[in-house]
Amino acid sequence: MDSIVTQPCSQIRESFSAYVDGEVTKSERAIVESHLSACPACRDTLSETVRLVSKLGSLQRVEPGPGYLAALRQRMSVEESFADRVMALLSSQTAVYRFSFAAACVVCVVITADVALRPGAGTARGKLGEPAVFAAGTPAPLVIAEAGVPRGLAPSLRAGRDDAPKAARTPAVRPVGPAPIVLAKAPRPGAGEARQRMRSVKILGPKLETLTRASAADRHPGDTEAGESARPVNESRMAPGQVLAQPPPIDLAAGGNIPGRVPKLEPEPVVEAVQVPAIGRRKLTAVLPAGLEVIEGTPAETAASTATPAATIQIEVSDVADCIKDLVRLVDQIDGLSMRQVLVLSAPAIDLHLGYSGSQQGFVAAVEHLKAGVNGLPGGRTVAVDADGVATATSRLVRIRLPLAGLRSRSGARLGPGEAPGLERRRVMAPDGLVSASKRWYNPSS
Amino acid sequence: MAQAQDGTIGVTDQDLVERFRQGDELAFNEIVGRYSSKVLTICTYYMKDPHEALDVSQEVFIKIYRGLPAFRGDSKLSTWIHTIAINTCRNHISFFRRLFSRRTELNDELVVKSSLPGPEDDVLSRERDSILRREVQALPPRFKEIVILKDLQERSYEEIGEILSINQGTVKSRLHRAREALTERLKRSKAF
Repeated sequence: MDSIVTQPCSQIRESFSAYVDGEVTKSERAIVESHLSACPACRDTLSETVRLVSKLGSLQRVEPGPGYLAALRQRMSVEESFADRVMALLSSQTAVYRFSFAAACVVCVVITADVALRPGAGTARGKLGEPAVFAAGTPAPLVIAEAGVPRGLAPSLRAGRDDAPKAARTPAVRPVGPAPIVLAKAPRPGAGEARQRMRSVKILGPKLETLTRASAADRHPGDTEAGESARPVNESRMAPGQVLAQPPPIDLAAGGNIPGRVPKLEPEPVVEAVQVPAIGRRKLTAVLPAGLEVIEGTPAETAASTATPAATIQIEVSDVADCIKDLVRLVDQIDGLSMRQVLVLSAPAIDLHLGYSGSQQGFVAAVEHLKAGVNGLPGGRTVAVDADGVATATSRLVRIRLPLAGLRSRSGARLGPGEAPGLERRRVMAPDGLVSASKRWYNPSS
Repeated sequence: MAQAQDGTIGVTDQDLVERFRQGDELAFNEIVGRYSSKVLTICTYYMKDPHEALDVSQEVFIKIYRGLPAFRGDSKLSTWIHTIAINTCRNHISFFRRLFSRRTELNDELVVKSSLPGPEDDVLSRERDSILRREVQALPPRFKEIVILKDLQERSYEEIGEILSINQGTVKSRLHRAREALTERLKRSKAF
């Protein structure tokens, strides 16, 4: 005990806070108390600590006012809107940006041409403005063929998988031979147009470009608005008389000359890109037929939006967007089946509603075919099949349910059941295939 | 679930987290209701400016909203929320964050002082409270946060260690030094 009492005061005082808070062990308490009994100075110090703790404990706490929650909710929605506006701003290209970008490209081209035309660097030297002849192996100038391809956020929204090669996701800049260099000039779009262009170019990336080229020839006469947006961006925004950089020929049989996820592009009715509503805070994209309706809502809301399905197939997939694309392709291959709606439920599923026209035997066979196809999809697995729904002789609906649990976002992060909290935005597809501006926060439980 | 919808009595934090994960937005409102006072108090005593405190408290709840789906429950929800609140306050006091921070106008709809019975009606006591609050706010951040967590939030040493990512020995010594520094400041202000 003598050794306890003889401990220096500074060492003992370090334990005072813990002593006052009751956070000392029995032995520590014994040491402090024995010291205090013999040291009046430390007793004063301890009483100061007690007074301080008492004062701090009586300090006012701050309570939220009645409008706190509403203000918080408002800020949450405002911040979400702000993020959208930034996305739209990044995807739209202002006149200043266009001019700067064009000027930078011209400078690059001039420098490249100057280097190429130096004596010894090429086989011929021409003046600026004259066609230049490039020697083999000379770095070719770049043609900016897709002026509408946005930057910045594009990787997260592009259609290519994360494991796809980077070249597959960046088709905007493409080396070509000594072709005339043309920069497509686009009028400054409105916000809505910018967002649509973002979807029709950024989301799909190389695949849309290829698809739209393949379908452009068929769609030019009497183009609708949807068809217009499906054209290549540089073509749809060309000024009259402007020369268009000719794209290299596309070899569909070989899967196109642009590296992409889909090795072989078959003619299919895919002409539009839509953004599947956010799941949690992640954006998912999919390629869907024009005019396809996308509805997001609670199961009750979505159930009211369609006729009774003839069948329900539940599957698990590894990627929502890619699965939808694959399903669209699969459905198109089955006679009589047609895609009607994509219902993205907040939780726990995505429904694809399909129409069917044909005989009863044909319907059963189509469902079996579809089921087999779903099972054959990468990551696809049939969980349940429900074919007891009502179907007329001429029009049937098949519902495919994709549970969100176990899905993966485009970034590869796994979407667990808790990651679709239900606070999502609603986007509704207009009949022309363009996403309407309708969106709002909603509460599934309300 | 029925119990949870009827009221918050008997509903644990984990129940609320589970409900939120299943898409029940009202669960988040309940979490805000349970922790808004604690978060506001932390922010108010951490930040010198009450407007900033309000903004930061909202930022804390936005982070909670975004992080809840990934909350694994390794620690208690209260510990997790306190950690977010302290980290958000730490980040917010940097110059650049303050430069670009938004400012919400304060009014009684948003923040009110506690109505706990106390000496708030006494002008002298209010003045002493004001000095004490000012001196707490003037402490270095590492002292300030530990005083807030222990003396205002009444967290245990173990929880404080978890929130601040320090061991309990460090909690003890840091809290001692923080209180010592605060006592010195109060003595200089003749408020002790």
